[in-house]
Amino acid sequence: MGLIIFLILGIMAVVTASGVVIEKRPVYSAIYFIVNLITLSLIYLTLHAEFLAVVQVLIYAGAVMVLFLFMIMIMPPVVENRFGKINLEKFIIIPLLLILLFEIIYVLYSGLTIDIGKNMPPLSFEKFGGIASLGQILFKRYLVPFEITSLILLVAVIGAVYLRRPDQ
Amino acid sequence: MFIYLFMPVFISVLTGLIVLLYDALMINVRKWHLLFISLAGIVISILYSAILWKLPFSFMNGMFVSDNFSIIFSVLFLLSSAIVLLISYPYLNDNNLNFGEYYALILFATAGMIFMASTLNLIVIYLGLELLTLPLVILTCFKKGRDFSHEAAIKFFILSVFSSSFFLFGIAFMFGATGTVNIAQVVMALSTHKGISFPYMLISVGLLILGLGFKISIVPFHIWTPDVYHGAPTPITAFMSTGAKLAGFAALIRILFYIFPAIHSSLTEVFIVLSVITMTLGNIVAISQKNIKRMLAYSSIAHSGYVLMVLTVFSPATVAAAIFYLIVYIIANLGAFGIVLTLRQKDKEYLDITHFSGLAGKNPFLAGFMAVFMFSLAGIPPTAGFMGKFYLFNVAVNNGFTILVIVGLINTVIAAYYYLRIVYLMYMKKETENVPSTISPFVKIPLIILGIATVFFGVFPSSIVALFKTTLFLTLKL
Repeated sequence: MGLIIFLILGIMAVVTASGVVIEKRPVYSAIYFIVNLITLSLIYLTLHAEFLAVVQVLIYAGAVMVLFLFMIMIMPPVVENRFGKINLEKFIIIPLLLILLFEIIYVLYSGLTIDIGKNMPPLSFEKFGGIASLGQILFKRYLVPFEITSLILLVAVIGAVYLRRPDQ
Repeated sequence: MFIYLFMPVFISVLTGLIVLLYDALMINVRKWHLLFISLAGIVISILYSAILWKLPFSFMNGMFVSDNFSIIFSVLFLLSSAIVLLISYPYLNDNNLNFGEYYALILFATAGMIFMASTLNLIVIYLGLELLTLPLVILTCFKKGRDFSHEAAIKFFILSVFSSSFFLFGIAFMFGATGTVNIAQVVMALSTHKGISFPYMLISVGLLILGLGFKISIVPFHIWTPDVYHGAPTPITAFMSTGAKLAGFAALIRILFYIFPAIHSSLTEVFIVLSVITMTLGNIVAISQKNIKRMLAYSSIAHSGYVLMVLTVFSPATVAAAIFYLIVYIIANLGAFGIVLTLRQKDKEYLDITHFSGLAGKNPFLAGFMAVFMFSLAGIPPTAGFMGKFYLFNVAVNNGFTILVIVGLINTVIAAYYYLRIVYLMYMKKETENVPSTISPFVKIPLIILGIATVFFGVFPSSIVALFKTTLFLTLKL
């Protein structure tokens, strides 16, 4: 079982790593890079190095996001209308947005009974560095700073897209 | 319960997202829909803040708090954002800038301000500061293709990152000295091992004041202000000089409130010096400005100096006087920028001081309101500016800072020169060149409200000051 998972992940890692090099469009190349990093972090997970896996995703994926922003800022925008006249993107995006909205509303309504911030287990040294304690700290104790950070990243993305967008 | 605590900030973020998606996804977007959605969100947010009045609540040991102090400031942030959105609507239309991003970024910045005012945790204050600054940088160069607005944005960005790093360094020192980043616990932690950590504490507070002093443009850290205020689109200048400045003061007052008891003797002298140089330099340099936006930038520096005058000591009376003065200042400043915005034709703005010549003959409505706002900024009796200065000077005299009051009075006289010069130009001078003025109801209604508020707070100030004095500190202590 472990071998099969490793083989799948390994092949994915090799394929995506070569994709980074082979792909000519820089944005696609960056996407390959992210997938490659996530595959690597999954391999770490199978080796029970949970903290390493999380840090791998957090730091490298964060760095690649910055790379993305720079690409959007610097590269000339390539207008590709691959879907012809039907604006297929909107047909994909709107259902996804509706699903997201539904999730948010669901979490909000169920969240009224979730006891965030009340039952905080003390940090234990045996589990230190594991995913459980990390998640406890990140999503309970430091929930507010975490959420604000996500908002700041959102603002950065909006700004980069706006400043790079050709004038209408 | 805690979900209601986050409602004001949550709704302003949600409204920002809705506006953004509405503009991006809908076909044939009517631009006033964007304004309407944003204003509706702000109104709901204000209502939720009002519900929380006198219901103090703390989430996660001060990570996010809701007390009367934070509610007063949240409502002020939301109101100033609403007025900025209203007065910028015709400007955006004329410049072809009416995009959802504009509304979304202003709403996100408002959320950042609310975070800054309603937390006891220094890390959240820092992140709120970033959430406020980053949208402001983008909005500064929102009008693309103008060199000097790009220059302003880059200056603003680099210098604010620089000042943020000082603020972060201050947080690190605070953690090193006391083992906590929660300002409510700092004094207690300090009393247990006073001797060793006290010097680090002083360094930390110095760095924190430096970081925030940059945002509220206290004098040694004010260099960016005139250039950025000049280069930014005029509505954004109004936003920066009111809401953003108010947020800096909210965080500063909150931090000082908890830290002052520990190190007040060192802080009093610092604030005396900062106050004197800030108001003097701001006022003197403002005299020689030819551009109205630069003049108002230096005037806003000077007004920060006046407020610092009362932060030399700390009591309910001083904080009430400071907040009242800040309210008076943002009302008059928003009004003044609203009128500056009307002096334009399509995308060409008339920003020179001499462009105000003979405005009274051409447009008595605008000239009358401009005169009211200038009187208020100068501190001349029937307006709110006089009462604001009266309370400030009163508090300073009661605490024995007579010298500060004398310096403040001299400064008021200096300031009267450049404020009244505008009134003089409008009423006594002939028109030199043909300056068009476009006034739409989106600007007219806020101007009328702000003008009435200026006179109202000038005639009946005591009720609102008494309200601040009695209710503000009921819940500020945990």
